[in-house]
Amino acid sequence: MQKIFRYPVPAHAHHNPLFSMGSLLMVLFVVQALTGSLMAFYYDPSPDGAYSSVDYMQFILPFGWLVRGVHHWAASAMVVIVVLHLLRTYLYGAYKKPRELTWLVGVVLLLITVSFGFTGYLLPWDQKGYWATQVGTEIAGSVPAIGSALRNLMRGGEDMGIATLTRFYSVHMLFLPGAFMVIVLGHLALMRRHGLAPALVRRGHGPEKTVPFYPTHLAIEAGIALVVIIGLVVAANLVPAPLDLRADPTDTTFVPRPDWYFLFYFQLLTYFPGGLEAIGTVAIPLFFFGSLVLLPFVDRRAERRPWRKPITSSAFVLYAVAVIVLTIRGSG
Amino acid sequence: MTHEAGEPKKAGVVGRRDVLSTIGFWIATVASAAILGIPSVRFAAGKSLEQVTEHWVPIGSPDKLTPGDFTSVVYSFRLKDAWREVKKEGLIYVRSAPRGGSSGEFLALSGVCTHLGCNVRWSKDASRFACPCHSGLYDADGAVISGPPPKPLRQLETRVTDGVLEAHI
Repeated sequence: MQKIFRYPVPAHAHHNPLFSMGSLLMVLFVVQALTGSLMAFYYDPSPDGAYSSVDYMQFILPFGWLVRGVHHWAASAMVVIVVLHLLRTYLYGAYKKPRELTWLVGVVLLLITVSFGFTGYLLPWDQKGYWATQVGTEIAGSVPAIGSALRNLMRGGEDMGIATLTRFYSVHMLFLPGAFMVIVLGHLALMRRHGLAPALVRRGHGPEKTVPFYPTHLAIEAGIALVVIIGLVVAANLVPAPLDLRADPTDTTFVPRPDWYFLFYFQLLTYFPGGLEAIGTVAIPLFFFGSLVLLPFVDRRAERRPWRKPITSSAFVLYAVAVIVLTIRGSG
Repeated sequence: MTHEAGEPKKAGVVGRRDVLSTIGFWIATVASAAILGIPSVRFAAGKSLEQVTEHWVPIGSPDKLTPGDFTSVVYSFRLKDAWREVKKEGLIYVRSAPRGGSSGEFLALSGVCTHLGCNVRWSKDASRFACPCHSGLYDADGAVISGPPPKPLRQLETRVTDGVLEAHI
């Protein structure tokens, strides 16, 4: 226990909030687990009851607006923080030897985080969630050769229905949280084994100063977590979690849109119609995640300073600009 | 304060920074837990501690009752249960002209055993109610004869509205 709590945190990490993003993600996961479990007290996972039960929680139950609102905003916060965490690791070259496996496990956690968003969106069974999932599962259906089977497996049948809702609920509530907890433990163990990457620029001579993880560094992280939690409560109060009209499969007027962190991909697909569809649905996602996975094995030089790594730094800028531009266009 | 890596801290010496950090950590943690925890507990309790709404349920025409004998009546009505409208059903035993009483009066007893909630059965021959779960016995007025039931069968208020006998549950 002494080793865990008195772990020496390098000063450059202690003084930089970007190094607290990992801990913040774990706090947000706990917040999601708590608010999600509470909503499961009342949630009715059937097309007949789902919408009414969410409406009941949101507008009738005491603090229902808060529990659901915090869950909604924390989901977006998790995506933002996981991207910041990934960017910090990327820019500081902390994916390099000996931390390759830590990076790979982190990529898996990124996939799990966005999967939480995808599966949770459907659960209110409102127009937004229903049609976003209709489109999302159709995207899966456009994968060559296995698309139809993949789509039907996701939906629990050819069409969206009760089996879609129950399996999305099960994945969201059971499989993903279980996988997240196990994989995060592995990520933490690897992080502790290899330690944090040294500072990019060393000032002075001699070993870097450190502070003990508990209580000094943990006090800072607890403070950051408190600020974020207060922010979530304020956000839930000022902008309540949305609940669109009840899902209507016959509606021809509704324009489906995914949640904001999938907008860039949704927009990207408009540029690959017809026979080129597989480029958008398979090739580009594979390239993106493939580049993340292969990064530690392609960029093997010891150099970690971003200004001395023109290729990886340019790739970062290119990815960031593409995602931002596509997101803005997709929201229009 | 920060210290050089490898420089051992003196055993038993707790710096001021350690104390402040410990206090700060626990204040932030308890505050975070309270901000979310208190509303969460209230949310979890929901409406479970609220009073159940009472209803008058129709039993039927008083003329259809056998004088001096209990008639079992299964009542049902639609009710808002949280976010759904559901059919609520239950069992009542009704008798007209109770023993020694004047005609036009009714005795309505809940058919639910006061021990653990099983439905009791009326036996005309034995002139008593018996609970099949733990053999609790009640007399014709609902009073406990023997067995584990702690209280008599709940007596329900009755009224006749437009020729229909109703019981208050």
